[in-house]
Amino acid sequence: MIKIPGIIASLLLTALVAWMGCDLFYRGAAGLHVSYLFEAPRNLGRSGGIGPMLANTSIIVGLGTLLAALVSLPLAVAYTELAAPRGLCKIIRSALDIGVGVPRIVWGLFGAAFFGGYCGLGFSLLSGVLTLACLLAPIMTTGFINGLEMVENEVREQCAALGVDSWQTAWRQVVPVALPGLTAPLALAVGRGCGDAAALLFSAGVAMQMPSSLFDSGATLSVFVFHLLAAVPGGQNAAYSAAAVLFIITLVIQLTITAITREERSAQ
Amino acid sequence: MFRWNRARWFWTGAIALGLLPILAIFALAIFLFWNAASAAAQIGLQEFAAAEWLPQQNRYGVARLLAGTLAVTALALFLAVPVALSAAGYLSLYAGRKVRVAANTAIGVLGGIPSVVIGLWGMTWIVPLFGNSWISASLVLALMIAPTITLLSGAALRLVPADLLEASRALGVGEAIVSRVAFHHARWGILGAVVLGTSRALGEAVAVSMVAGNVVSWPNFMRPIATLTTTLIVELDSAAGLHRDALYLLACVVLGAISVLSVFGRAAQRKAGI
Amino acid sequence: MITLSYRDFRLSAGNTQILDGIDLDLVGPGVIALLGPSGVGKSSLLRATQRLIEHGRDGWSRSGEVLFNGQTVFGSGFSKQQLARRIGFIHQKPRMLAGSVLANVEFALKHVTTLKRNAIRRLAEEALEQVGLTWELASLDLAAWKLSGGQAQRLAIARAIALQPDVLLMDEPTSALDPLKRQQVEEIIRVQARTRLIVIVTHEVHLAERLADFAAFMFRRRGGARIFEAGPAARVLRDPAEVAVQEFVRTGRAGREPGPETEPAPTAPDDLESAVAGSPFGLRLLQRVYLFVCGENTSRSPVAQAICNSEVARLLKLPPGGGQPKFEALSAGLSVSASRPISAKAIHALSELGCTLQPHASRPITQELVDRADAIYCMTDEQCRAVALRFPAATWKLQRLDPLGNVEDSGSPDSGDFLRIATRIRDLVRWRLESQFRFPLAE
Repeated sequence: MIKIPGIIASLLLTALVAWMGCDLFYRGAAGLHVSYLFEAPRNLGRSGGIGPMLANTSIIVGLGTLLAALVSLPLAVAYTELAAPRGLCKIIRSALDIGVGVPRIVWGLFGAAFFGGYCGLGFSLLSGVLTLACLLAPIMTTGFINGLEMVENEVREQCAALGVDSWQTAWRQVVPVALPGLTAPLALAVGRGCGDAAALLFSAGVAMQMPSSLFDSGATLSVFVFHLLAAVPGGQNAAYSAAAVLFIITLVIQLTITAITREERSAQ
Repeated sequence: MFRWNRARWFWTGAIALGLLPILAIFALAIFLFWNAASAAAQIGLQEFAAAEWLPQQNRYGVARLLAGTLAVTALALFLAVPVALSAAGYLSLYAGRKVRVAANTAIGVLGGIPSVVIGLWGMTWIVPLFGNSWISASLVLALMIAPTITLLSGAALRLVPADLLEASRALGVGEAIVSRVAFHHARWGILGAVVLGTSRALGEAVAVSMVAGNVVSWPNFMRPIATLTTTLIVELDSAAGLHRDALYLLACVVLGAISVLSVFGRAAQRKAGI
Repeated sequence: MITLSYRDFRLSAGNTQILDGIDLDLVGPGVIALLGPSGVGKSSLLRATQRLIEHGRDGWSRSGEVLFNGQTVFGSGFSKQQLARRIGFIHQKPRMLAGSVLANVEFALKHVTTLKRNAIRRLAEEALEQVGLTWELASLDLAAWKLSGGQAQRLAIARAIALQPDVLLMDEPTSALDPLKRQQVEEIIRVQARTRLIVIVTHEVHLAERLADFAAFMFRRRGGARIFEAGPAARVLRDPAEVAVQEFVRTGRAGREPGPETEPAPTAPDDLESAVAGSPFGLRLLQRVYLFVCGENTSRSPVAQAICNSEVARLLKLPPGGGQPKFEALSAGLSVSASRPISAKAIHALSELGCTLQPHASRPITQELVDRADAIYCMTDEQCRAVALRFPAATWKLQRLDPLGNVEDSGSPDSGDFLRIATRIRDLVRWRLESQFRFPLAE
């Protein structure tokens, strides 16, 4: 009974993805030339390349993910390995659940006002990095906690029987075993970061030249596409090309995640 | 002689680092409430509940925006949930492993596509058909939440023990009943999936703003519509003073609704064992 | 002396009372068997002793005292790390940690003590040798997850004894092993019992018969488990007072040959005669070929060979120098260049010890000798390594004569020095023979 609608639904969803990809390439092909990935945009972005935007994206996503991981992993390890009182655990878990659900536009609001306004960073890459880190941290932490909780308790008990303290047990025995499950949240976060427009629009700005420092403002690829469509008249064509590149990035990241989780499942 | 003292220092350092994300979340909440409170004080509850949102004339009534958000979300759910659940049911219960992995990857790609790209695609194909309207907004939103619901429900259905289904089949019941057994077993996970999809729909700003028309009005199928989030994204740049604080108030409302849904949805998922 | 005492020890998980007033006084070194049906709470008692189960965590609650050398285990006097160094615990199915075999043993040493790397490596290698893994594995850098069940069990023991605890708690150490592996582990336990207090939880009565000096029986009645009977193993296992224990012991023995119960052997070698007299397996066990190996086959190994022959002949009341067709004691050397007679100091020592001497010519160790032997005993660890290198297929029957140290030759031809060494060799050979009686191998 469920087979037929199920097959139709699955085909529908899959076809939509394929359609979207092909459509973007078809329409964006005109703008995609050899040095598209390296050139600077001209004419307010309506022609030229996306070099600076790729640079901005790499910097913001790279640093943002790194920063988020730097605070998420200790939190996840402390949450799973330490014996914390029940009440505190519940508070942290609720905070994380809320954090995961905060819409990106709201993080953008906060980032603009707090990092941009209160901390005086204005529209800058640094402000974008910090905002992105705030956005990614709850998602990463939740992912890390899931990965760590999958390690069987026997390892921890074995180390406890030998008298090894919880810190060494956590970092030398539990984390290495959980490593495959910890890389998936990382990849997911990178994907989210690349695709994010709402949070970075108000914190990193829409500047389109190569940044010279972290305090310059700069548009990431997604922000660039949005800006072209919302604020630049006639920018739709250029937007297709940039969106095609975004689609490829998403595809690569998703395939990486599938490969990682498949490897983890077969290694178990 | 023993090293356990060092462990305490390391854990303290780790906890200090790890509290930063929690602090950020609290800072966000405090920041929003602080700014929204002043707006709320100035605007007053009655005015806030009114229908007209006209910042230029100092009218900050949120009723139409709320209606817009609810309408867009509800229609999106109406469109997405049947598709997502049937796809999840087929892929988890009947499809072979290769088909399932391939389809899940494709659907994962769909879920991971940035909102701008989906908005762009919507502008290309949906707006010519339906105009900048409620229907377009809901269609685009459905496209974005369907993958979430499909993948999470699929995970919940995969947790149904295979022997339960085999036992049902062995009793000679039809496949319809067997799938009903599976869905019943996974109901908490599916509920969680739908709730989380809803919370994602509520928070979506970019894609919706590209196809909805952003005209504050009562929901009408083929007429432009504005939601809480589209208003935020459209007006934030140029807002100042009371207007800006009113926007923070809107953000508070959105955040409040989403938080309730998120906590509930994650609790349902944990109950299902995911 | 090592003492471990339980005073009115109670343990409950949630609403279920598991242990109801355990009173036990254990004294070591030696082997203590904690017997009882499965699931009665023996493992929980052990876990609680090492504080793997904590009061207040996961719904557990406990009351009562556990005293280790007079000091309470639960107080602030002992941190969990300090406790693990004095009381070791080995799970029933131990989990291998990440890394190589050597890394597994060094892991705890590295993170619980402040010793230098060299000291840690030395301790680790010693521990591995005591469990016999050094010769059996191609290299100590082998990944730990590749070990078989018996090897993993022994690695877990090495891990625990590397910390040199006074007490070893073992949870069903041999239940998951086949008879050959069981014997190896039991032998390790016997060696360790010389210096440590070992508490073994088991439901097998014959394991207790073979190994234990002291036995305690735990049964569950309404309201939790209690100790029903405890005392020296000889008395408790042969002649239990409680009805429940009688039933348990009788069913535990069902299917095995009836006969005079063997005395659980004390560690003193003088009881070899009574061990032989009491054992129904005596003759069959001695149908073995022993090969003693040293460097030049002129002093130590011929002495060992002669002693072995004499001891067996004396026990079986046979004419010295042969008789039992299937029993042989042989000796060979690793670095024999020319065939030489036995050294003068060895002759002197043997006559002092009262052993008859057969004509002897030194010979090198050969593949044929190695294949013929059922057990090969070397004098030092270097020799063991050399033999293992040369005859890798025979490493499983290779051991040092003294598992706790080397038997070095005296540097001089002086007879006085060598007499001491020969006496030591005699004690070791006797101990080895006695061990054979303890572990009747499945034929």
